[in-house]
Amino acid sequence: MTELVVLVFERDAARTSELDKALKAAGYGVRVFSDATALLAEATQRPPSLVVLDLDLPHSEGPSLLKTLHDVAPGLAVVTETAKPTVEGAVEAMRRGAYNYISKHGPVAHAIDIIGRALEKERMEIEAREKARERKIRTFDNPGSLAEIDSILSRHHYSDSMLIAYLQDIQKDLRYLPQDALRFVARRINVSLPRLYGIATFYKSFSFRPRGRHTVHVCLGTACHVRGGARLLESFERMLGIPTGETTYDDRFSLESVRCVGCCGLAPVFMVDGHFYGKMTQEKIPQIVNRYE
Amino acid sequence: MSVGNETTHRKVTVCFGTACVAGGAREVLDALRREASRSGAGLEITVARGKCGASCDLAPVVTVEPGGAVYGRVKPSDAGEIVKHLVGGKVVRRLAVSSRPGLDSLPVLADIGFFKNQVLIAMRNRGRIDAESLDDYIANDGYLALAKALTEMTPEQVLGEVKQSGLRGRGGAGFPTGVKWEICRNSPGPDGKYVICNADEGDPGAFMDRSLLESDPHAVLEGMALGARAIGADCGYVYVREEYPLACERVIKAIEVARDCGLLGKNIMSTDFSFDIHVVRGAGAFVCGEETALMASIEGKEGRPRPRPPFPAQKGLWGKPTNINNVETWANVAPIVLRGGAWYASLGTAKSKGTKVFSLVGKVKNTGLIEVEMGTTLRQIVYDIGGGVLKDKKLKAVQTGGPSGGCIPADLIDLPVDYEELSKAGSIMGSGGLIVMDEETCMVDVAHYFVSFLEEESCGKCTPCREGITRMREILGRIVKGEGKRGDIELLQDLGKVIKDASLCGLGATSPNPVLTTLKYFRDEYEAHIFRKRCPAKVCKALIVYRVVAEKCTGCQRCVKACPVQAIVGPRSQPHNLDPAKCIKCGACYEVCKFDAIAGDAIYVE
Amino acid sequence: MISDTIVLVVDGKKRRVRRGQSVLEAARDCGIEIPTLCYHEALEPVGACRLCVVDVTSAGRTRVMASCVTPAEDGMIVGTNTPRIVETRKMIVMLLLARCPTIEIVKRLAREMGVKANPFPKGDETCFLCGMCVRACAEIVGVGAIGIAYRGPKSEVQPPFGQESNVCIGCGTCTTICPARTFDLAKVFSRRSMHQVRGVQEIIRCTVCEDHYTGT
Repeated sequence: MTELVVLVFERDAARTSELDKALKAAGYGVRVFSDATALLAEATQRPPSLVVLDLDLPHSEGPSLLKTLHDVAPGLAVVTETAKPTVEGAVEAMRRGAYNYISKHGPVAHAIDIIGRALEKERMEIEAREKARERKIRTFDNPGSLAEIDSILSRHHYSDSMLIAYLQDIQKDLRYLPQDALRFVARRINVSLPRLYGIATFYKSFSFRPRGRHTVHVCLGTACHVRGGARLLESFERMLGIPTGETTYDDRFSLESVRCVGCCGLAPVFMVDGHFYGKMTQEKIPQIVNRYE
Repeated sequence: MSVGNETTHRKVTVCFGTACVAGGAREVLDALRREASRSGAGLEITVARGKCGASCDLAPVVTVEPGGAVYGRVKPSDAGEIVKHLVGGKVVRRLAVSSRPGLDSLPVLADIGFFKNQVLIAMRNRGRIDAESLDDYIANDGYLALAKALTEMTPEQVLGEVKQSGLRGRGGAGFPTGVKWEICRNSPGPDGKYVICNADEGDPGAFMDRSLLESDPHAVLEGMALGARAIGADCGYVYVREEYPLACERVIKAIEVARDCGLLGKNIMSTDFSFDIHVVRGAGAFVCGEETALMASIEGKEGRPRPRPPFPAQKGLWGKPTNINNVETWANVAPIVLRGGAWYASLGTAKSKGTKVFSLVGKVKNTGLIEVEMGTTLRQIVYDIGGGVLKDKKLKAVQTGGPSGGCIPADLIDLPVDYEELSKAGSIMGSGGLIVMDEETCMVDVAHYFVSFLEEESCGKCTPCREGITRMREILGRIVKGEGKRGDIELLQDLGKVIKDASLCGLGATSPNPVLTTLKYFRDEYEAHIFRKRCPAKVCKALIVYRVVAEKCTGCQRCVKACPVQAIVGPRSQPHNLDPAKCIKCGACYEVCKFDAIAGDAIYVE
Repeated sequence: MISDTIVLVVDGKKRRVRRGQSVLEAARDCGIEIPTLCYHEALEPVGACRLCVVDVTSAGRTRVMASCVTPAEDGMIVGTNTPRIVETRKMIVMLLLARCPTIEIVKRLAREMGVKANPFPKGDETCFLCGMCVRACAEIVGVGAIGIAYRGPKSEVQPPFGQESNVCIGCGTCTTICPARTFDLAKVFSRRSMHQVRGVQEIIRCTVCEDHYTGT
């Protein structure tokens, strides 16, 4: 289990030592910085679980540091602190993506409580990422992978009417839509995440969980239906041991149904990785399936 | 009759539509090329990729010119014999598609029932051109209509020809195309107007648009350019569903090639007319075939239909006047402009002019795409062209119009096919899917199938569609399981009426059609399911029991091996036994039995 | 000179109404009540619930249309309670009642329309997807923290990934505008649950302004 690490970027020495003690007592790993460059370098090389950020820096360094941190790690929770809390400041910080905005004069216990809640959520996401790494699926919590996503967005000039095309390209390259990648797209194109999420869930082509190495699409169009398409699908479900829409545990196959691939003259039809098999019967399935590793 | 010696040029064309590629067309093409290059008989043999011949049952299809001979189900190992035929030898009879078996003649397209009864306008280039060759398209009068429109006609005259032709939208609704164009033309569009090609062909069982886009993309592009000229648009979109990757690829290539040759883009053919086209891919939503949902999708949003008015022709894509037409509609425009609207109007019936492309599929012998004059009867389509019902079983119904349409029963087989007649019979033309159904098709199951499809595809915005379709599916689901009750039929009818009247868009409004037409013509089947718990067609799993017909069983054990749950036992050469308790009714045994020895009995469910 | 009023025939009576309104607004101006669920004066109408359907005869055709999104035009003949409309509304309410049998406003509509037995199996949803919460959050508040995810019967109001939103500012607009009272702000400001939202939006007291907000 990865240790949950908090980076504290504070210019106020007293506050720093308060937080440091309290966080360590709560069982979190802590690293302290007072230099922006060093902080960013650390955040890039060894992504932390959370950053506590002092907003009271000259030349609005605080808010811009918030943005830079999110460019490097879009899902990162940043708790901002200030000695001069105002309502406008709070709204501004939240709008810029801060997880929370607290006063340095408030009790440390309050700060630890807020931080604790964020880290609990982070713990679950870390577990998911570790599972993904075990399955050799790429994750998007680092600038390298994000650069790839960025290049997909640049293909259509970051236009916000090409949202569907971006998601299609990401789905094709990565076999799924990682949450972190979506958050990055939302920030980079400047559209709301709910809008992107709405698109990702509305259209059937997208999935939030990775598809297998090979995807089987069984056609359930009308012509295929009257020629036994549904029985083919059931046969696949039995053979692969998964319901339609799922992936085998060894990531070998994902099974999907599709309504009409336009090969009605060869009904019933199924596709594996875009390769069409027409005039199929249940008998012919095993030998075809065995061709795919 | 052998291939003539008049010329030293022979051409062999291999169909490269998706279905033929699936059947191995690539391998056949390579083999033919190898054999042709080895033949060295002083003949010039061209082996080319051809446009979809739309006779998918025979895939892969190879055509020979001169002569027009057609070979079906060709394998790479046949290449040698075919080339030998070309060089002056005999016709390879075992491969030849012929309507007169036994005659020692070269089968020609003009003799074969499937082909000879067709009138090709939208599919005019079928079997003649390589989809990726602009030269081929131009050689067959391609872009001649556009040249004529830009140099000899005014935009109003172009519009006039389309109006006079009586062309109606081929995507389903059948709205007069010329009138639609006129509304868009007359809508003020200071910031520009759009034309859109709706290639989101989602009706399961229909693949006309796929074939047209894959095999003759320039026909669509030229049509769109003509439309843009008539309406005053400068930008167009082709919205292709992502389940058609080859179609997408070919359209994109065709656009690039056309641009390079000055047939698209700025100053087309050196005139002051500029028009360009972009391709957008769908992402798996049937509802995006609906105009307003399609436009929302192009704008990068969820494909949820919007209320109309305002209509797209007034306020469409990004709020500008937009004209949306189906692929097949666009493909008809160039011939109309070239040969005149009056010519087109001379074909067809009083209110349905011209021809229509249908996908003839299902339980029919000759499956594929056909284009026939409006007014052709279902009998001619199913028997003369289709060759009759598969395995000569009894015809039960023909389903038209996809999930928005209905089932025409066999006793209406002499119905002339046009918009009005299909409407009168309770169905619709739709995009052109014609699904032939036989005695082994359960009409309640068909209704359940379509409603389940629509439930998955409903956008969910409005109550009657979202809730109503689910409730219809629930009721039909009970009926096919033998749990139907008195009052279900009346409830389906009442519910259907409200869904039809109150839905926001066409998907919802037409969703009750499959249910209401099957109720109208096959009510006895519903009643059998509900009151006697029987499925007369022996399809609904809960209501059938599989058994082995001992008198016909030869003991070959194929079914024993095919059964996934080992429900059939029996030694070789002895009639087998099927244990109904283990049987999961997958039908695998029925599929493999060559002796018609597996029967599905309708039973009572207590 | 185009006058700023038009004449409609509503339920058999000639009515002069202001130009530029929807049929629903025009009817309400005349004191004719048409039931709605997804309509709110402060939001763009969408015609989703279909409860406001009326018979509209225009240019010789009579069609059932949602009055909130149909512009009133001079010479239109509108029927707000014809037998077909009454039956249609009843069926729509029965469908809603089947989906959300415990929701007060649906039960009230059913009573008013005389719906007795419901032939459909009872569900247990508390949201009928009128979408007003989503539209209010986007159009009025300008935050857009929630949206409708998925489609068809599987549609759900959710913040992204069903996780707690970190742009929600806790204004409570969704709570007040929801006709089903699906969102409820607990009196003791300690927990607030949004139905259809997986996860709980906790209310925290801000140390800056002393107000409450959702902070996750």
